[in-house]
Amino acid sequence: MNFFQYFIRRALLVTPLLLGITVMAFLIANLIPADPTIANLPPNALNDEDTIAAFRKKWGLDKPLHEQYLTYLGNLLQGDLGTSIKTRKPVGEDISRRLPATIELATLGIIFGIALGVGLGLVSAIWKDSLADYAARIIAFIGISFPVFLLALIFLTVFYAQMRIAAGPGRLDIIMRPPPTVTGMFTIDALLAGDLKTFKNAFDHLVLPASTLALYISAIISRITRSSLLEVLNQDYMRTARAKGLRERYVIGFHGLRNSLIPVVTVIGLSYGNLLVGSILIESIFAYPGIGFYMFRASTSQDFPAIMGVSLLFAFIYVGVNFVVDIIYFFLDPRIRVA
Amino acid sequence: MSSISSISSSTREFESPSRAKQAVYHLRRNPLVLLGLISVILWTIISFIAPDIAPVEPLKQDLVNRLQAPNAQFFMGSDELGRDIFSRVLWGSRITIPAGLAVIIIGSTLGVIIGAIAGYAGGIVDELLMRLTELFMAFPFIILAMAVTAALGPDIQNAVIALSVVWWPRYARVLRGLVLEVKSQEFVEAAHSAGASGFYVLFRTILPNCIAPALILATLDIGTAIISFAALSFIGLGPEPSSPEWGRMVSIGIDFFDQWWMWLFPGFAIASLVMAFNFIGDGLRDILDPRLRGE
Repeated sequence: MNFFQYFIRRALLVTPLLLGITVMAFLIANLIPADPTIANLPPNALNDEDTIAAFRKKWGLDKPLHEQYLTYLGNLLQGDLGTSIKTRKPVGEDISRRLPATIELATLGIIFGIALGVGLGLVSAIWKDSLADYAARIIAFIGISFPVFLLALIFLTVFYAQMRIAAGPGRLDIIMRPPPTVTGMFTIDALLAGDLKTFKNAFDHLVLPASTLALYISAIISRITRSSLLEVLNQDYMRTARAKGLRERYVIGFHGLRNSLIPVVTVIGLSYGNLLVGSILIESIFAYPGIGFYMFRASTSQDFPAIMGVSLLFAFIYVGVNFVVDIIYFFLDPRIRVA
Repeated sequence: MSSISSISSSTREFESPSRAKQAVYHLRRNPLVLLGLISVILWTIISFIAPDIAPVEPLKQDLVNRLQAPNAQFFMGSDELGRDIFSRVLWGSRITIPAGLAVIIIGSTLGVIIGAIAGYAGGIVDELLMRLTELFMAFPFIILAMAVTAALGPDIQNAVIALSVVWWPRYARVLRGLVLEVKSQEFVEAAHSAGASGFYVLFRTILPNCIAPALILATLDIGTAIISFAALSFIGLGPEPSSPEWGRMVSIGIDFFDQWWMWLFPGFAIASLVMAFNFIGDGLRDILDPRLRGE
């Protein structure tokens, strides 16, 4: 199978899934016992007959359920996710303004997390049953067993409030001005503007939340790396590689790590879900104005349109990430190309 | 006579050790499992006797003594209304442990039934149920749980329902695979040819042979269920704010960041319970899957 065929086949599998997600989001939205007009319109608009009529017409509430869904899908395709009760702005607009902040945090978090997770997994597999192995596994246990909000609070107390070696909540110090918006990611925008001071400040503010996120997702990555590498290390071809006189570094780095990476890539794809969950909890503690914080505020104030908008976005991202993971398999696993 | 007894005594040496002996052997080799077991038992006992051993009522306010750091009277300090954190942490086990277990029991039962039907029926039913499973898995589970709880309204019961709704797909997948495997075996054919109904064959002949892996998966999962429940409740989608629920206590503690005892102790309570379950689950997997023992 060449790459193009593989790509098309995967894409065809993803499309019905995306449609299904919209059906499900629509059904959950219909599950609310309350009248959707009450759930969606601000309280003061409920006295206004015209507003209510306009709302019902726009979302087709006077029509049967399947037609309502089509209207919903049509509005969705135009990027219309409804209006947030809390911010009184279109949910799509709210999301697109906050998304860059979360992408910035999540990207740094996953880079830290993969580095930490694969690193710890390598250490524990190579020096199995040593002190280093136990230390690495205890770190993994903490990452899995401690609620991420507790980790965030402990990090904030220790490194910010007590030791004063990390920047605190928010995206920038209060006295700093955000860089001119290009991507919405402060570090990149600051670099584009050539403003190193702002870049450093924005980066400093990212370090603590990104590290918390990293510890959280590295736990699973390190466990899988360890067990997968341990299995590979016992294979015959590893002995062959050593027997033909390759250096240990090369044997593990090239023959070992590469072959143990397939389950690790799967887990990284799956842990993207954890990353999003983590971002909700971490952003709300670090007062970091991204999608997670927005979702947190929406949940605590029953802002249903906002909740559904973010849920849809996260589900789409999740499907997208796993699509990318499938594509990466193609390059990592030669068996797919033969099949 | 004597020769017979000597034969039987020599064969006894080759018998595999009893299950109890095996368990003791593994516990000694995995001290963490033992530690986990002890902690879980301890927390379970606490959850039963909390009303008797808690120094104060969990909801009792004492505004004169608010925000006290841990001292002789308030072992873990007091909160913004002068409630005793120690008593609240003890009481919290009565909410969290049953909630976590309920999620696992409801979720796994649902998953087992759906997966079993999909695997046994095959064809279009299988296809439909598995697409549905994939759909539920596409939503990061806490997001879906948040949406469901928000739709149903926040309280303990709805948080459990929401988590159960998102919990079943993994079990459905595992069970379907197992049923497919068992389905083709001869004793199932025998049951069919003896005239047993499809319902009988699935639930009485096939399922009992698939239940063990599901039970193991469930044990591995309890920690995750507890931590997810705490997270939902931390977000405000669990019990009401005054409730002595651990996740809720941590989230209230954030507003009193410098009064670290307000969030640290309930947080540690969650972590200790979850870690205990993870130790057990991890050890169980090592014991049952010899490949991972690396021997």
